[in-house]
Amino acid sequence: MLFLNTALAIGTLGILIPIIIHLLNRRSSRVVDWGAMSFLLESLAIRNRRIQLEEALLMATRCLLVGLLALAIARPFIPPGSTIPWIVILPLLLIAVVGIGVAVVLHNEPKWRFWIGLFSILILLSCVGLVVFEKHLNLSRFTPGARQDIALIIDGSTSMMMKTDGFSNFDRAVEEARTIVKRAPRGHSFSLILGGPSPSGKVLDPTTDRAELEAALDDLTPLDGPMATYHALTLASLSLARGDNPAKQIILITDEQNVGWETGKTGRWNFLRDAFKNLPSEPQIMLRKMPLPDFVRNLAVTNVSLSRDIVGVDRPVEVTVTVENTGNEAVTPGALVFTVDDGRNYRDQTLSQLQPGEQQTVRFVHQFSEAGAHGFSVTLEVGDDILEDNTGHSALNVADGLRVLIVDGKPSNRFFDRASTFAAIALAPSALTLDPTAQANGPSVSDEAADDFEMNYDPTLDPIRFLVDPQVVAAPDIGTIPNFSDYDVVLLTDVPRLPKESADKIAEFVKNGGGLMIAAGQRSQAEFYNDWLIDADTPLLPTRLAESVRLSEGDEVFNPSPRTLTHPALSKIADSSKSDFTGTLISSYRPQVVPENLSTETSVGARLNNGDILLSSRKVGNGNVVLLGTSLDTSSGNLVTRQSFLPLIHELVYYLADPAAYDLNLDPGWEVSIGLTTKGGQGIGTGLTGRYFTSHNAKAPTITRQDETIQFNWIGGTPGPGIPNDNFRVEWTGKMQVPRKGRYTFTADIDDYLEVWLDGKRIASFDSVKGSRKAQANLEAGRWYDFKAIYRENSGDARAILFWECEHFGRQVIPPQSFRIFSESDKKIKTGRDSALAEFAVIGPDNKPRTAQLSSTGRGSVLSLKGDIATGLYKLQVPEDQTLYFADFLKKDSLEIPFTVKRDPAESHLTKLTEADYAFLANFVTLAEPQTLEELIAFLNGNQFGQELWKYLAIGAFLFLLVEIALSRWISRSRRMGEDIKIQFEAKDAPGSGFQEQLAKMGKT
Amino acid sequence: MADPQTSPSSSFSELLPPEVINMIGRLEFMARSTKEGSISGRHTSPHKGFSVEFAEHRQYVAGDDLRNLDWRVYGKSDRYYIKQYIEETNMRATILIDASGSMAYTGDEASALGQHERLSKFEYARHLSAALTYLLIRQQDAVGLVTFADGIKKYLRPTAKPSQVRKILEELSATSPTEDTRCAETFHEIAERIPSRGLVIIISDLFDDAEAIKKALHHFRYKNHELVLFHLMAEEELTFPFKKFDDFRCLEVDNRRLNIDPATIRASYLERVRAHLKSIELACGQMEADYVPVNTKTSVPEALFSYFSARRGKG
Repeated sequence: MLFLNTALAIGTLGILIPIIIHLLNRRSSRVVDWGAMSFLLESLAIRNRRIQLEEALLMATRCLLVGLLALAIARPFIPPGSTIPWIVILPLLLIAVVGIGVAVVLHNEPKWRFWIGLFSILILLSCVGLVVFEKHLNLSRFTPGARQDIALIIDGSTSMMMKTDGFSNFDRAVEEARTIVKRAPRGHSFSLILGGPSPSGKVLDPTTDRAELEAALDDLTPLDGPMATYHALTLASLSLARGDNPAKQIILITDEQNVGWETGKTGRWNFLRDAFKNLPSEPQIMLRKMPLPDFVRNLAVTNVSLSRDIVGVDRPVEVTVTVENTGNEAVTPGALVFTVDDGRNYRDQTLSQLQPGEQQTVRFVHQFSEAGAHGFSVTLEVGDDILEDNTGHSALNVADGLRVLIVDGKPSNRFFDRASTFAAIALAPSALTLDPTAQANGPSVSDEAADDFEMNYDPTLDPIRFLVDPQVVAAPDIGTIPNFSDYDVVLLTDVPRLPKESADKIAEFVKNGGGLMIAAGQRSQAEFYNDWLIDADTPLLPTRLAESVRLSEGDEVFNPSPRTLTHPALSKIADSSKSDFTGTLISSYRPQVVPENLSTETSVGARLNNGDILLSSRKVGNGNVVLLGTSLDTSSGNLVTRQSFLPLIHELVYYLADPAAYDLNLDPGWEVSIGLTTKGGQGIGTGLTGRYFTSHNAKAPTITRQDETIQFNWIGGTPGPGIPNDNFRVEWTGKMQVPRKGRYTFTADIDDYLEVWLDGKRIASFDSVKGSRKAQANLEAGRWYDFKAIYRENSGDARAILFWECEHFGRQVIPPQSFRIFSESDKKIKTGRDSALAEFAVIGPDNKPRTAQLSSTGRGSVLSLKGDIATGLYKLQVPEDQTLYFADFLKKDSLEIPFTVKRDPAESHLTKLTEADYAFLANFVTLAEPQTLEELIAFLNGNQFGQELWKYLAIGAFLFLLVEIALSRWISRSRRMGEDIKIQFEAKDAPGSGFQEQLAKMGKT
Repeated sequence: MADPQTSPSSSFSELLPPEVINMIGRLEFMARSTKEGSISGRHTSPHKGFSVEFAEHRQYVAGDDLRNLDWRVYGKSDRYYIKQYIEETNMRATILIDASGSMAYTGDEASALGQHERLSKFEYARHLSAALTYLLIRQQDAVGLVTFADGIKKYLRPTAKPSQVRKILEELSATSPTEDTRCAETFHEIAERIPSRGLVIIISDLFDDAEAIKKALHHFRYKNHELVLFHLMAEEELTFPFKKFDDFRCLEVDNRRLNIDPATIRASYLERVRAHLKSIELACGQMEADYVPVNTKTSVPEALFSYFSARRGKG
């Protein structure tokens, strides 16, 4: 128990007033020498108990009255989490007060008086001791003296922008925050967090600098979108951990919407509770609630979705927009405007009046003309309470084309005899498909070109390009393909076998994230496929191929079994009511057996009705392998003639190409980030920037390109066009990271000279003439070192291979994922542990500049958005010299990559936290709900609002006042009764008043 | 108070101021029944006593006064005989004056007399007994005095000698109230010691158990005394007018103090006093004793006058 007005607690001494009055009353008495003592004593003997009782009652009432009044004025409260059972001790204290009063009154019971007095004083002293204890030791965080770190979280969500009486809740919240900062004790440190879709630390290190806080508050603007409350609290805990004060508090000013609290997620809240517990003192969350208006007139664009996952420039895409009335009044909307960043826009007027809760959808059809990342927005023209949610956004990466290499195992002069024909036509019904020699990605003839095999076509006739860009190569010619990494997917159609070199290259291609699909027909040689290894003893294929099984006379027909179609790529054709895939007749197939060592890795995607595996898949490295046990031509059944063949091939190719890494619509949360993982799984910008100079001293490079690692053997040739065979120079720059901490030894196979710099220090120089020396360095994991290597070739052979080794692994060429090209584009980024690789400018929906930082994670790179994050459309600004690395996203001649932070429709629904939510939260954190700002400030001043007791005490004082009045009246009345008693004490027949007369008469006579 | 040995007259003038003498000059203490011989010297008493007129001899028993031994008989018969005379004392009155501590109480409203501004109950009693002594001696009745408190303090045998007035007055002057009252017990003792068939005048506040007092008074009646009971009470004792907290110091027992709020026990106290007075008055009525309630606020002459006029009225 502590006091709001500690000084006034002295008032409790007021209980001395009735005691002193009582004592003075007795003291002032005169001495009466009294004779009729026996009567007094007798009376007293009978009345004594009663008198004492009356006196004691009266005194107790008066002491209580004064004590309660004084306590009420001092405004005591019980701090939450107090370890002292005040509910017992406060009454004890009052009893002690009563006891002291009673002890004073009991004049005639010295024994009782002594013990009651002693106990009362002991209780009183211990209560005072407990108060002092609580104040100074136990709960120092509640005392005004204890400095606190306070994380101030202001809800910046969309709903806070609703205006009532001319001000939005956000304005009020900022005003309250300002008052809090102004009126909190000087020593309190504040950090400031703006809650939005992702929490934004405005002042992360708790500071006492009021000017800084004021400035930060002045700059606050609400963020469109929901508040990720849970994450804001997590950020608050991090912020509080950075403060020096032992006492920690969190003030959350919010309109109490339930979005972002993540109630029900026990694991997350356990984490937060642990985070709180790990702070020097567990903070309590003071929930300052801003009222939501009762009547809301609001329409919201709650959903914008695309009809397809992969959108190419080949055909239009349907965009479905959902508009919902989230308020409680019917609203008639205006037009819905759909704006694409390529300049097109559409207006839709079909929306009619929406009743509360009603949803209507509008569909737009748009064909993107250019590959790369696109953003579009949908705006509903209506004036309602929340304007922000009348806009929806979406961004997508329009695929340029999936390059599929079809290796034909049965080249034939006759078109339909070829194994690749049906697949190629299914993927791109283009004349080009038929002519492997034609330039890839050139304009194709027509979308109806499947039957048109004209070799000569006019490219200007039809500008349509296909999403999938198949290229067919005959199996014997596979050696002509220098690099499979130019393709997304390699499809082997009934290929008997491949040369070892190509097979190894394809295995490497798959490991680096490529997709491989094998359609195994009768010609496929089992021993080749089964021995196709990715390393010493791991096969590449998910299953082992067995010899072909043919449907013979009388056999039951082989069909794909409907219930076994579990592969994700088959999901669209798995439903036999919509697809004819299950009716496919298969006349011959290659049975597959899952080897024991792959039983956990291989997943069976489809089986035949006899139980044999039809389709299996497996993840290899970063890529995928799909094995179909039948060929894609007419020789093994009627699969190619089914309607479902086209989607089957498309879906399999999409699956293998794995374009999902490019989702540009980001979920709000702890951090908003785009996973920029290349197909190699290595993250964007892997490798080094190589600059090639024509001479040892040339100033400007002739070639600048991205090199994966330093592993070159030019022998006697040139490293690139424009560079001479001899006397050239190469400089590689970038950043280097080691996979594990350790002592690394660098060695090189070099001709003629190479020097290596780390963090601006030359650590090694290798010279083929003077002899290569080892260089060693202790390197930390997770840290990006500035890397630079300078190579010089004099004459003759040219070779540059850089190795490293350490205690964890043997000598190896430094792998490409240990390098990042970003080094010079942004000097601001410090090298250091977990530091970002590069920083990019981002323009947000409010057109304010922001940054995004590229950092490396275990798998690939992540681009994290920094600064205030609101819902809406963002544009990443790519520096001109780095367009290469973002080529997958960039539109032609554009340096912007649009992406969006998703709108959470729940924010528009304005749903408050429920009792159940509060009950859930109470399991993890201490929530306090100050009803007024004054209460909150009083709390910061070291006091507590929760369980203020003064009202009860005042009521108690009032009651005891009444009791006192009644009691004293009753007592005085009972005493006044004695005044009426008159004693007849004179002779009955006394002469009375005539005496003097008679006396005089007698005297005369 | 003046020393009775050195200035005998001072106690006289002090205890019998002129206004009292003036007043009682015309009064007569009439015995209520002739048998008991209240009219002094007029009747032969049936009791034998020591007087001039010889009545008979009786055998000496141990304890008899040797003065009364008839030596002549002894000379003749060698036996001890006591001479008994016809008692010719008119009336033997014994005044019993309560000298207990409680009698020292002086009420604020007590009457004045002589040089006393306010009379304590004892002083009142003194004046009363002085006046009565004077009156009785003047009538040539014998007067004795017993001062008592916790037991008999002093006993002056009744005699009708005029010097008895002086002796009694000196004795009264020399006495001051001190001890605890146990009048009932003392009355029994007195009743045994004083000659029977006399007039017993008790001046006391009778602060003792009413029942015990009753019995003691009966003892007097049993001894055929005529009883006159001057019951002295101060006004305060009858009204208990105290309002504020008072420290009541006991007059009878040293160091006994009672610090009480008078209001708290007034009712009970007065109830108790009333009952006490009532029961004593009742007892007196039953045994035909004269019960004379005297409030010390009444002046001494007035009290005397009213008593005598009442007595005359009855007689």
